[in-house]
Amino acid sequence: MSGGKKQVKPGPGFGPAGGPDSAEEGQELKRPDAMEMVKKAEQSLGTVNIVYGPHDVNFDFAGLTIAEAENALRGLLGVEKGSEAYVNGHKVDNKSETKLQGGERLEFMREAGQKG
Amino acid sequence: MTMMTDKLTVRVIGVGGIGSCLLDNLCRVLNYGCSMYAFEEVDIGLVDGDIYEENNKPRQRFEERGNKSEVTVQRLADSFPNLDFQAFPLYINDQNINTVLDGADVVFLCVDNHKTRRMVCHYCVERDNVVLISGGNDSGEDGSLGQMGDVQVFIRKDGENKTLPPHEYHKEIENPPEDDQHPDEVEEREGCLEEQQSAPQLLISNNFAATLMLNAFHGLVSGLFDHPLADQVGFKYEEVQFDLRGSKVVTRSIKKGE
Repeated sequence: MSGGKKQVKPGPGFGPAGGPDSAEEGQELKRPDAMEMVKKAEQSLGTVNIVYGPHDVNFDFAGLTIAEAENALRGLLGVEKGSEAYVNGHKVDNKSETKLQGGERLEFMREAGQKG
Repeated sequence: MTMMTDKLTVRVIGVGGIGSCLLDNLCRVLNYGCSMYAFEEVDIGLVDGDIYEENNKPRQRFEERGNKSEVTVQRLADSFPNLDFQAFPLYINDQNINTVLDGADVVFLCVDNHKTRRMVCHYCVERDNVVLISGGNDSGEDGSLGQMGDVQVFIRKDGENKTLPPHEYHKEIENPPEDDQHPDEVEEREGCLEEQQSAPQLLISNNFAATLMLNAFHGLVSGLFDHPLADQVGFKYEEVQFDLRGSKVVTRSIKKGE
């Protein structure tokens, strides 16, 4: 053990000037937008973000109708039949004809527990 | 909202699955934690028109048959001598709600129907100061097998809503489905679905909902909800949802219109 501090070289794009992506003097450093990158990746993979109650998970559901997604999730997450569905915050009335696209967020509204 | 009051008046509506799980621990913290909470006097009223029967035993603690509020008050009064207990052996309805909930600082709502939830929610939004903590879990009829549930926290202070009342973001509470019945509408009370009520996961769900309700109460009394950043870290919330199959618990802070 040397006891000295390990010198860490700055990685590309993020650290101080010196890396291959560093900005030239006078140019503003541009950080990549992580959320935008994730969204693009999800779109290309066909991933749909599903929200139901405490669950917030991603599934490769692009191309499925909302009704098909609901059926697929009924046994797994307990999505109740006839639950209201929202895609990117907009209510969907025709679940059997609305197809999901990669990068979308599908939320099924969950009713309050009835039993006490 | 730190509750700075010498006398605390609590009402627990429903002494069934969740209510009976809640009461032992609630009474324990109120009886032995009074100095921390700074209540000199605690009045605790149990409200239930139902009776304990043998088929309640898988999920509910009782030593003798009889009205749930009366039998439970008798049992708790011996164990927690610093608390003043009252039994209300009735189902809460439009005629008695003012009498039963008059002066209540905190209402724990542990019922099995949305009609009663709606009635109590509407009552609370008309009060100047009250905290309503309501819990429920699934019946076991859906895919979750009774392991999902939720707790709503409504805070009304100085005539203003500090959190949204549950009926404003749960349509089924404001407009209960046809099969939802107030106990006064049921000719012969069957309790909670005989066939499923012995399922062990329901006892666990009842216990968990009760723990989350008590935890919300502690958050309020200890002042955690008052922290200026409580919203941002999820310490102040309208609702907690859980799914015990994955031990998932999520708090939700809900804005009007969501």
